[in-house]
Amino acid sequence: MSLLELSGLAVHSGSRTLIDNLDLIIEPGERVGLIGESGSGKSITCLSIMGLLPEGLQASGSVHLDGVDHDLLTLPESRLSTLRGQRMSMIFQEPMTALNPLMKVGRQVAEIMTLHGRHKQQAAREAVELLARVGIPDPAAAAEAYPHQLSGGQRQRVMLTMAMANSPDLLLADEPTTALDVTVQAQVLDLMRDEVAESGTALLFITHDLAVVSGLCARVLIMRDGVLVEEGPIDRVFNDPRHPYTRGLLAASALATDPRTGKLITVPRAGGATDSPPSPQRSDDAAQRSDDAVRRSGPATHEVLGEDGSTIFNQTEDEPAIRVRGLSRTYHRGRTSLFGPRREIRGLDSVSFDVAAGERFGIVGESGSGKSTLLRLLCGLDAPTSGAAEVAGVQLAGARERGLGRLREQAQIVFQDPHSSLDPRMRVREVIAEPLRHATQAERRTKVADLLAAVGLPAAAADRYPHQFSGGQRQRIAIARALITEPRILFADEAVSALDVSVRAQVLNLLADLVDAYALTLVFVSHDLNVIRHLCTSVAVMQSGRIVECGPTDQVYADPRHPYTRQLIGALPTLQTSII
Amino acid sequence: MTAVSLLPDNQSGTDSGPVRRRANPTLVAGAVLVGLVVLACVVSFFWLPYDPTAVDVTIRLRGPSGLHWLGTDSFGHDIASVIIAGSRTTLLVGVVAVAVAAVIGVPIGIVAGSSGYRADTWLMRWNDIMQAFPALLLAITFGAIWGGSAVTAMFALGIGTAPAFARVTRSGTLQVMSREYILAARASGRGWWFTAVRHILPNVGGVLIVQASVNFAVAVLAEAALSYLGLGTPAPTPSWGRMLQESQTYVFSDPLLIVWPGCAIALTVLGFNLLGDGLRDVLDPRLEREG
Repeated sequence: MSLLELSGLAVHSGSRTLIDNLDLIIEPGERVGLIGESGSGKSITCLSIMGLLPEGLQASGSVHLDGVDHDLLTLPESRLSTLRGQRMSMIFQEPMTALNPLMKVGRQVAEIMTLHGRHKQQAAREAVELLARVGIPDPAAAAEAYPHQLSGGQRQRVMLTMAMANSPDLLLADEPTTALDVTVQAQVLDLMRDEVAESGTALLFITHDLAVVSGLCARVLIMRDGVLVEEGPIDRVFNDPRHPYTRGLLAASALATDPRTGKLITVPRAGGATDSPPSPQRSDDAAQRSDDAVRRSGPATHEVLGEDGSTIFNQTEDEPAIRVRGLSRTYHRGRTSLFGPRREIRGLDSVSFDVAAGERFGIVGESGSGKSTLLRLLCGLDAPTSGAAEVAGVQLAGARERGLGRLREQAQIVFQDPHSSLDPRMRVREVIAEPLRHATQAERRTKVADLLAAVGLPAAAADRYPHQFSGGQRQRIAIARALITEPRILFADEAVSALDVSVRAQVLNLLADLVDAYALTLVFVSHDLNVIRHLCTSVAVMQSGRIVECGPTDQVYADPRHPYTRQLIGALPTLQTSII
Repeated sequence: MTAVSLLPDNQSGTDSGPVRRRANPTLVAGAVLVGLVVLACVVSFFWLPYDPTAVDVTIRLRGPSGLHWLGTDSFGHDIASVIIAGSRTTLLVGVVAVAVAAVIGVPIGIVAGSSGYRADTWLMRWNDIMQAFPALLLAITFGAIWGGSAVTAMFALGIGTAPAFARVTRSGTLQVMSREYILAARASGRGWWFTAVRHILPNVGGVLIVQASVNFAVAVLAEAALSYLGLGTPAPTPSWGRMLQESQTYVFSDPLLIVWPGCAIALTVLGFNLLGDGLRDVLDPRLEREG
C-alpha cells in the first residue's frame, strides 16, 4: 500500500487551470523531488495535499493518505488538523515568516507535540533534545530565544525540528533552502536527509533548483504550467531526459552554452517560438574600445588577502574605470541598553581594488558579506565612512549629490527584484526614460524605442504598466532603463537571482550581448558562483566586509587559495547530468 | 520574445499596480449616500421647493404634508428646502477643510518620510503636539478671535486635521522609500522633487484618498457641531447644524424638527465613512485577498 496517492488532481481558480489532472504516488519512506519554475503549480500541489488551499481555489480529483479512509480533499477541517503535524507536516521557504516572532522557539516546538497529546513538561524537555539533534549550538539557550535572535539557517533547522517533532509519515518541503546561503544550504540539506532517513519519513521536496535535488531524492517529477511533463528515477531523468522542456531546464540550470554560438542554452517555450531576442549589433567603435580595454589591462593577478589586510586587488597599470582604496562603511545599530554605547557593525572593512575599463568583474559572497554595501557605495547611493573610491573619474568620498551628476550618467545599476525596482504607477515609457534629464519628448521616444528593441521587447510595451509583464520581462525593462544614458559602467546587484532558471539564461545572454555592444564595464554582484563563473572575467570573493580572494575567474574556481573560497566552492550543489 | 504574453504576472508580489475587481458593497453604499448629498447640492443651485430663507410665521411649525414634504420650522421655513440648500454648506466646509488639511499635511508627511531621521523626528514630534490639540477646540478658539463664520470653521478644521494627513502620508512614504525604484531614481540622477512628485505621491495616493474621505466625515460632523454652538455658518445661510440649534426649544413639542437635520448629518457622515472603508478595501494592497 502506497503512502500517498493523488489521482486526477485538478485545481482551478475561476476559469484558470492551475493544476491539470495530476497523478502522483509516494511510497512510505520514499524521497521525491517535485521540480518546476514559478507558476508551474508545484506549491499549489503541496498545499492541496495539506488541505491548505487558499480560498477561491477549487480542487477536484482525489488525494488518499494511507490509513485514512476518506479523500483528503473533502475531509472536514477538524479531521485534517489532526493529521497535520502528526501524519504529515510541512516546511516553508522563509523560516522567518513561518515562525511566530513573539513566541520563544522552544515553546513553538513543544506546542506541536502538546497539540497532538504530549504532556507539557515532557514536551518542553523533548523540544530541547530535538533542537540539539538538529545541530543547534547551546539548544537550551536557543529554546529560550525568539526567532529573530537566530540565524536564517538555525531558523530553518527549528522549522525542520517542528516538522519532524512527531515523526510524521510524510514531510512536504516547499523550497526550504532557497532563502539560505550555499554553505548553510548544504548543511540543512544534509540534516534533512538524515532526519528523514532516521524516522522513515517520506519526503516530497519542492524546488526550482535541480542541483539541490541531485543528492537528495531518488525520484523526480518535472512540472510545467500545472502539468507533469516528466517523471522517473533521478539518474534516468537527469541523464536521459525525454521531454524537451526537461532538457532545456537541465541545460539552463547547468548554465550550459551552445558550442556554436557560445551563448547559454535557453528553455523552449510552449508555443515553440524561440525566446532569445536578436542580439544587438556591436558597433565597430564600441568593439574597438572594448578590445583595446581588454588588451591594455592584460591578465589580472590571482591574490589572497594578506596578513595586514591591506592588499590591493586586481591592480591595473592604466587608468582603471573603478579605483577603490581602503573603503569602509560602518553602520550603527540601536542601543541594547538605555545607557550602553551604540553598537557598530562594519558593513565594509577597508576594501581596495581596481576594475579595468571593459572588464567584467564579479563580486561573490554570502548574505552579510558586504557585497551589496560595496555596490551601493560605488553607485553613490550611500556614503563611505572612510576610504576613497573613484568611479568613472568621479571621486565618491565626501561628494555631495550635486557633484554626482557625471557619475549618474556614467554608471547605472540594475537591481535584484524587478517587482520592486519598477514604479507600479508609471508606464514603461516613463520608467525607461527616467534617467534622461535633459531630453526633448521626441528624443525620449526614439531612445525608448531603441532600447526596447535592444532588450528584446516589442515597441508596444512602452505604453503598458510594469505589472503587465513577467519577471524576466521586467528585468529587461530595468536593463533598458540602466542603458538609456549610454553609461560606461553597469552595476548589477543580484540581477538574475529573482528569476526562474530558464529566464535567467535569457537575461544573462542579453546582458553579455549588451556589455559587448555598448563596451560596458560590468560589475556583477551575486551569491551564485555559477552565474559569476559564466559571466565574469575576474571575480572577488567577499567575506564579512572584506575581499578575501580575487583573480581571473578560471583560476579562482580551479585553484581556490583562501579557505573560505574553498568552502564556498565545495558547498555548491552539483547537478549530476551527462547531457551537456 | 516574438509574441510577448502580457498576462498578469503570477509571481507578482504585493503591489502590482491598479487592480480591477468586483464592486465592493461597502463602497457602493458609501458612494450612493455621498452621491445623494452631492446631487442635493447640485440641484439646490437650480431648483428648490421654496426659498429656504423666506420667513413666513403664518405657516410655522406645520407637520409634513403634500405642500411641505418635511413640514416647516419655527420661522416658517420649508424644512425640505433648508436641508437641500444646507448640503451646500456641508460640502463646501468639507471640501475646503480636507483640501487645507491635505495641502498642509501631505508635504509634511512626504518630507518627514523621505528626508532622513533628523527631519523625521522633528517634524513628527511637532505633528504629535498638533495632533494632541483637538480640532474642535482650535475652531472654537479661531471663532472667538475672528468671529464665527463658515470660513474660520473650514480653516480651523483643516489645520486641526492636517496632522492626521501628515501621519498617514509619512507611513505610506516610508513604505515607498524602501522600494528599489526609489534607489533606481537616485541612481538615475533624479532629485528629491522628482522622486516626491513622480514616485511617492502617486504611490501613496490610494491611502490619501481614503484619509480624505474619512476626514470629510469628521469635517461634516465638526461643522454641524460648530454651527450648533453658533460658531459656524451664520444665519440666514442654511446649515444643518444651525437647524438643530434653532429647533432645540421644540425638542418635546415637535421632535421631527430635530430628526430631519439629524438624519441628514448622520447619513452624510455614514456615507463618507463607508466610502472611505470601501476605498481602503479596494486600494490598499495590504488587505488584498484572493477571489
